[in-house]
Amino acid sequence: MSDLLAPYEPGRDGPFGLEEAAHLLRRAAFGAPLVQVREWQALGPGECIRRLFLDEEGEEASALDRTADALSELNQLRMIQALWLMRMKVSKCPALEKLALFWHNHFATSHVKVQSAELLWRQYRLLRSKGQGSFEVLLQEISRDPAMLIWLDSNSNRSTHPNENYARELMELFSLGVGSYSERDVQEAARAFTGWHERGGEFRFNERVHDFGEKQIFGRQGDFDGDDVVRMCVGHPACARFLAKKLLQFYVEPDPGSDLVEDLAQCLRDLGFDLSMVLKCLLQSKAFFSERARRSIVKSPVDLCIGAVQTLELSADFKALADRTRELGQSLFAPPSVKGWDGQRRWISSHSLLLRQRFAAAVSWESEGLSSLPWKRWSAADSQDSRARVAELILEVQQGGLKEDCRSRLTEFTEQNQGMGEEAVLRSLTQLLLALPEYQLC
Amino acid sequence: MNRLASRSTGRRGCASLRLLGASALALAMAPFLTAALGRFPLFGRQDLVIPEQARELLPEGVIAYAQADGLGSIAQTFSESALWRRIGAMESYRRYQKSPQYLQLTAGIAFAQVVAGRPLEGALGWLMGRSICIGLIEREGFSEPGLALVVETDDEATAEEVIQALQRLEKLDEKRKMRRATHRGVEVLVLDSKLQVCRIQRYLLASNDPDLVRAMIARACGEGASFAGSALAQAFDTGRPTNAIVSAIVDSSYLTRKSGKDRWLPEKLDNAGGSLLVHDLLEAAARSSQLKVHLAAAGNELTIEMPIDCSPGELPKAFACFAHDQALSSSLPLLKGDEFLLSISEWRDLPAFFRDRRELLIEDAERGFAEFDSGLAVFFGGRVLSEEVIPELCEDYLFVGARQTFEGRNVPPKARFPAGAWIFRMKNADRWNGELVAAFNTLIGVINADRGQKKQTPLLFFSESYRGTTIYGARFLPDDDRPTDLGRYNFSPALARVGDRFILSTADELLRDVVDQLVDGAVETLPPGTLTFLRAQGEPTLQILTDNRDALIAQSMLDKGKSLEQATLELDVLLDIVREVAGIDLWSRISGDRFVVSAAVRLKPLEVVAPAAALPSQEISR
Repeated sequence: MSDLLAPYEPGRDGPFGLEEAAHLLRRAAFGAPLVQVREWQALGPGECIRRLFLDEEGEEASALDRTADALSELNQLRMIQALWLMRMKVSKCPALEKLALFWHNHFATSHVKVQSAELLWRQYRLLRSKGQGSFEVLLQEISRDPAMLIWLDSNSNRSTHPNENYARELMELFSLGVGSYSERDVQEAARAFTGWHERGGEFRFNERVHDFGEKQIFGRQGDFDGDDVVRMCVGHPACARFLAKKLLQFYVEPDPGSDLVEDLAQCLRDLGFDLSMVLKCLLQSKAFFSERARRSIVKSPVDLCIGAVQTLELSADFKALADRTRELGQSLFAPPSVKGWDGQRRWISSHSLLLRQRFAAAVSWESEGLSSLPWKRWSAADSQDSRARVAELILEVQQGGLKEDCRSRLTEFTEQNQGMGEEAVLRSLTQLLLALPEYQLC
Repeated sequence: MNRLASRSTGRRGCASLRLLGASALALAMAPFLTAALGRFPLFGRQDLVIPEQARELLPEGVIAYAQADGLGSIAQTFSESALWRRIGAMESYRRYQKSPQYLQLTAGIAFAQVVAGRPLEGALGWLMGRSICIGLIEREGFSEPGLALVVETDDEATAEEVIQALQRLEKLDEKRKMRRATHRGVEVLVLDSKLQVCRIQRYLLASNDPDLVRAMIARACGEGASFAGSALAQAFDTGRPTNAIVSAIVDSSYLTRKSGKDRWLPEKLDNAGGSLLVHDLLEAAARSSQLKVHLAAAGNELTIEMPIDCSPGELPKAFACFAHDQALSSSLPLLKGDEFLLSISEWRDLPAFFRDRRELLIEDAERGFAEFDSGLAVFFGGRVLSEEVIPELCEDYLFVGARQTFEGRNVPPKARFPAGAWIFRMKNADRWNGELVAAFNTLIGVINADRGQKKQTPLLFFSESYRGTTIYGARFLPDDDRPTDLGRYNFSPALARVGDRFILSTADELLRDVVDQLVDGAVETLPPGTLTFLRAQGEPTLQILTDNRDALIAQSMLDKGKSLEQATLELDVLLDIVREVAGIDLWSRISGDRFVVSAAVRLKPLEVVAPAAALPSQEISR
């Protein structure tokens, strides 16, 4: 086993400075304003991670939950998209929101077919509440989730005519990956899930249409039901590797090496697939803080938008923000398919790049539902020197990770445009920073 | 030595002479020099001409003018009133006073607390003085008019106190740098590089344009033409109610000067709803020479009235759809149930509106009509709506909105909408009875087909007799075992006929209430000439806002990015305000040869509060 997952020791393995703290907050959550990054920098990685996963909901998030029930009743997709985005902002534990986003892509379920904002909101709450616990429990709960049952046609899965949709996706997309199971396994697993129906927005076990007979799955024989299938999938050697790779691609780097995948897979097995403990291990590791990992993941539209709102402490019209993430290619609660969003380079196209630049303009000039850019606070800073002024703004917006030639060009821009007035210069600089290729990377 | 002494004496003597000569020359030149600098008029400062009325200080070129008299004493009286005490006792108001939004809102008055040490109630009276005059003045080279303000305070000392308070602001806030300028011996404070403020005797002058301030100072010197002598000022005084607290007037030609989207009073509108609501009033306003508005208060009622000097006969033929002739010859009914949160009555000739819509609406709106025509034809067995159905409608319409109680529902919805009912007459009610029922059935069928595709609960038809009428309706089964999609219980559409009136409601509960009103004749008759009447009632509005409090707070958070604290506070303030309002009436009518738009806000009766029950002092020590 390599030492890639060994804990990152500040001092010995490298610093835990502003860049490292910002990297952690960006990846584990959605970023944070500079003042918070500086506070956390002093805490060290262990304490930062402990705080990230403290499941203490603030009053605002709790209030949103109370009203979400009423609002989701209205069956408006845009409403629940806005609710979740707002929750990402106001939650006291944004790391759990980020993890819920990971699971939302993993167990991709779309409003297009489910047609119930209420059920999808309930699914989100399931992912949020169970997402950091046991993966096996999560998989069992999601197998009973009404939105998932509708999405994968479970109501038509009957003993006389089994529907393989859920069984196939359970193995291919949720737990094992392609090549780790046979067609026979899928067919037999489908029999185990017969009678797992949705009715009136609730899970119902319809035993009249359940197949109680013997099944053979992964070479084992028994009168298995759905929970047994889940248990066998989680116990399959491929599951840990499959899940490890997905976690690494989401949190660390887009193309993790096989050593690292195997190390994390082993970690998953050793820790009983307890996601909270696994993530804490991962986010404190040398691999996470390595050069290779930094600024290597393309920000998803949600990361981009909520990241800007968090980092720059903006006020936002969250419905407009939901429209924006949708335009950029990530419509929450409506992924393009059961595979979810491909992400990474797929987030970037000639069209989406223009939209990202438009977003940069909207943030900088406080339009399209975004406001409260703190340019006055920036202008109050003492630095009169253009270079120092640019450096401060880079810290505020980018929080490190910008090459010298880029800094020089920004400084040059500042010097050449002093006549625009201080406000215009600061806003223009912000826009340039937000439009940079470097800013599109997490 | 003598020679030396005499030479030195001589030099000193020459020097003294030179000094004396120079001084004399300087003294002689001084007036010319200072005049050249423009600081003082030639030969010393001219006496100011103190006007009798504040508005005499406004220069000519005013396109809009507002005047408030006695606001200071009104504010003082209000601050001692039971209503103010009640407001001050509101929990939400006390929380609101601590919020940043309150400070921003009252910044102009808050400075009085901070720098002048006056309590808020006293500060209002202090600032508003005897009268306030505001003028918008056209300026060459500017697309927007400039703002000029004159406040007549009680006396010179009070006005000076305000100036001193402004100057003290500078010391409190380093960023609030003030410049000072002088014009004709009058010191002008320039705040935030925008607002110019100065004092002339008991008058405070302010403007966002230095040229306007100079013009007002010139007026004080008796120079230049004054607004007071203009036609607009005369029109302002003509017919002004004696009990008006605030009045305003605007030159209509300014509102119609520009074209296209920049025109304040558009010729054509882009949506049918807006056009049907107010288009005749907008057109009348554009044809009048001025627009006036008066605000008055009496007892528990606040009234606003806007006369528009244009008769219905002056409007183009396309405006016949506003049924002015019918309004003058007949009376509109108004449904007046206490449980209704909203009741609207109006005269509109919809067939004429459809016929003449292209005169009233922009071209883009035509698509909506085509969709409407073809879409609704489905419900009428393929009839062409605009040719066969719309022309059968009579000109009077009623609309009511009410809170729903969801009686009989096992599980009421969490999001609770008000119900709405539209009451209309058909020219041949007997003939259309069956057709409308069939159209209603078709509507329910289409809704059910759509819901079936989405695997949602369908509506179930019913018909029942009620007070001599037959109600045709559809409801979601109350004992349905689907715990989701509870929002559907907000809707139970229903149709009924009482006499020649048809009622189409979103909820059968409301439909029964309307049937009760019509059968019992519990209907108010509005005076002839009434075109549109809207009544909103405070208590039902308060109830519905309270029903949906959490959802409204969340909406505010979502839409505007407000924090929970802010959103909650704002809603609670709104609820407390609505709690004090008995109702609001809004109506338009034809009176003589003009239109009049009026609004009345009725507050709930206030109990007498003993003086001893005063609030804790809000005074801040200097």
